[in-house]
Amino acid sequence: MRLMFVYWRIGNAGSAQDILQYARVAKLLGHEVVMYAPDEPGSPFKCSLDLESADAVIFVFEWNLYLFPGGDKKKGGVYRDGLMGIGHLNVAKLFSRVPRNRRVILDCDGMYNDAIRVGGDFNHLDAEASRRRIELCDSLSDKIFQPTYRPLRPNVRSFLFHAYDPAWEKPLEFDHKEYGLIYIGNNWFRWKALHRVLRAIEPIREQVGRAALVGQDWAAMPWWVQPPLREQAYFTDPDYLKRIRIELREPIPVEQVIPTMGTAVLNPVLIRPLFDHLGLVTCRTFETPAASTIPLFAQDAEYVGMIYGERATSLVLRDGEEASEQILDVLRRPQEYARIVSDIRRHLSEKHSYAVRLQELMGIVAE
Amino acid sequence: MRLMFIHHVLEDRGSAQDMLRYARVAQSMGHEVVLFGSPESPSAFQYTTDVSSADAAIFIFEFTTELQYGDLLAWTRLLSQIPRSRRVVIDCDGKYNDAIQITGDMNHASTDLSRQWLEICDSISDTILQPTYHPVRSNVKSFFFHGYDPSWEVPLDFDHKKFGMVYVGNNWFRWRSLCGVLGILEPVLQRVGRIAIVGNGWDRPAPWAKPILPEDAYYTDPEYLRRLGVEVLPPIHFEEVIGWMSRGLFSPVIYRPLFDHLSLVTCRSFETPAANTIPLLCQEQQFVSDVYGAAGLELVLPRERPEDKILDLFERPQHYMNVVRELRHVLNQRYSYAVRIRELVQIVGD
Repeated sequence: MRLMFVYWRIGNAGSAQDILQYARVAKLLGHEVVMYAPDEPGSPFKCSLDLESADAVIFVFEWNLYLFPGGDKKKGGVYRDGLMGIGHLNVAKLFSRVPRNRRVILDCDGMYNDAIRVGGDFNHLDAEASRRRIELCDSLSDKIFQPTYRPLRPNVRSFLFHAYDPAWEKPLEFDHKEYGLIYIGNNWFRWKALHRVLRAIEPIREQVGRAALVGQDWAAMPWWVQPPLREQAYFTDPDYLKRIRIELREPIPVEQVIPTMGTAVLNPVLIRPLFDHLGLVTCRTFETPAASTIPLFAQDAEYVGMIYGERATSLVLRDGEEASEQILDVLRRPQEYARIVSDIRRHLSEKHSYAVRLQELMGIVAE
Repeated sequence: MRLMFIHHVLEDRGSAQDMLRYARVAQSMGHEVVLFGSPESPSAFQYTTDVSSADAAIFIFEFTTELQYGDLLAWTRLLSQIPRSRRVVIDCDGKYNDAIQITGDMNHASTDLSRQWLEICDSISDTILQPTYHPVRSNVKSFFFHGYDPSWEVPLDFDHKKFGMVYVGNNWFRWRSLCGVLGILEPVLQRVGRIAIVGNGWDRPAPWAKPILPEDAYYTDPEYLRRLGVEVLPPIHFEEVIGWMSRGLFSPVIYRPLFDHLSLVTCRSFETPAANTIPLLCQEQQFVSDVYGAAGLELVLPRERPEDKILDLFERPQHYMNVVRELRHVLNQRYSYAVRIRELVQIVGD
């Protein structure tokens, strides 16, 4: 089978990494995954405009359909005009040559929903934006999928898209860790989830050791973002972070994420409130268990059990004083918890590998 | 029916007049014509990006297939929300052809660009229309997009004309044609009187004059114009075109060589007869007969002794006034916007 993805060709974006993995696994399984885009010298992606041989075109939709990633500076270079910068001629060809039943939409950010506001987070600015996105998706395909086990709309089906690669796994060794706790990720609506973790470490701050946040917009809210989005999406409390001695580090390249996670005993797995509400998974969902660390899940036990297996529920962050005790116990006995992580890894390898995902996707295409 | 026109409109050229007329006449017929887009500044046209409300999409391509307005998803919305069977391409400038080079003019700079143009049109629709009775490609049908509006008609009164000749148009591959007319006027300049040319690129390089374009696209000879005493005036808004033509006893209808070759009509083909002037048709007899009928033949600039024709316009204006009246009648019957809209609605509905 030959699958063509339509997505921004940004090497370091989460979904782009997933597509590269799909391409790798597809090759091993005798299939082919390419990007539908003009050939780009130096690109990590295999690009093709040969629609005739495609069994399906997979649209990976996230929030940023209307803007060139990184601004207009890539326009005319990597990106042309039109959908995902593929050029309007190629957009026209796509819709004239690939029938509706061979198009699949992966709605990664839960935007194919009514406008939702939850915990200060939201999927659309207003109902009109939601209507436009729904109308767009409906006009493209009947096959609409979201990476959640519980889509809200009856016509949306579950396809988790993001996946786990056992090759990412680092040995679970807990001697000489530089940090007690580290979180790698940008702020973007995650303050509340992070704050819950930080509150839990406050009473045991000395025992935790060094703790760090790696990513954008933790040191300050970006002044150039207009209120109220600035306060909603980027709220941070740098004084508080300083007071409890949280080190703030610059963002790191994608290939350094798992090794850097491995420099700490604990890594919280945080999801923005909207994603929590919708039960969405992200690429990060599957990265943390592969690192040499103990993941601490900030989601509810049902979600954690469904994704990571039943054993993982004991790594769900507890509430109040119990959370502090739980963290302290992980710090004291990491090797004990490493056994749970091994079970999680086994579960993820069996249920959520890219090979499993690709088979699921081909099943969807073949329907 | 709600027809959504997708067109790159420049208000001082091309089909701006057509856009406005289609919208007005459609409304009077119980239909609606809207333009796709959302310009930042106020416009005479009714724009919308509400694709879902359109019954059909009419892609009107002249010099580009790029959208004038629209975000990154504009093409996606247009092509996914309006079914292929409800999409039509009107290829006004004969670019839906192999690359053609003719008398310094061309439709594409390369075969690659021609191929791309064909590809995008074919991707949009099976219905490709050109404003010619003689499309070159077998899958192209005739549709005279440009129309005639009897409400444009200025009462014919050839007394007290300020100018003998007025030509309104920009210099886009038109120097050869205009120069041909001026050459004919040279021996009879005294009789013709004042001559005016209104538009871009005649007494100085046009704004689009760039070395990457063929020289014929913008070539002009300001010195020659000065020697003949031709008055060159800046370009005007499309709503002033007929008024300006009406200042001359006659107004030549000239095309760029490519359009002559492909027998394409333009908006000017129908505007000039509505002005208070004698349209001097500078095309082949066959083309004139096809487009304007027998009345038009009387207004053709002949190959043999053309200067006699010019003099005759001045000698017998009353005769030519009657010819123009008859011509207007023919145009009203054949090319009114109401006829065009009925035809378009039928094409879309087929």
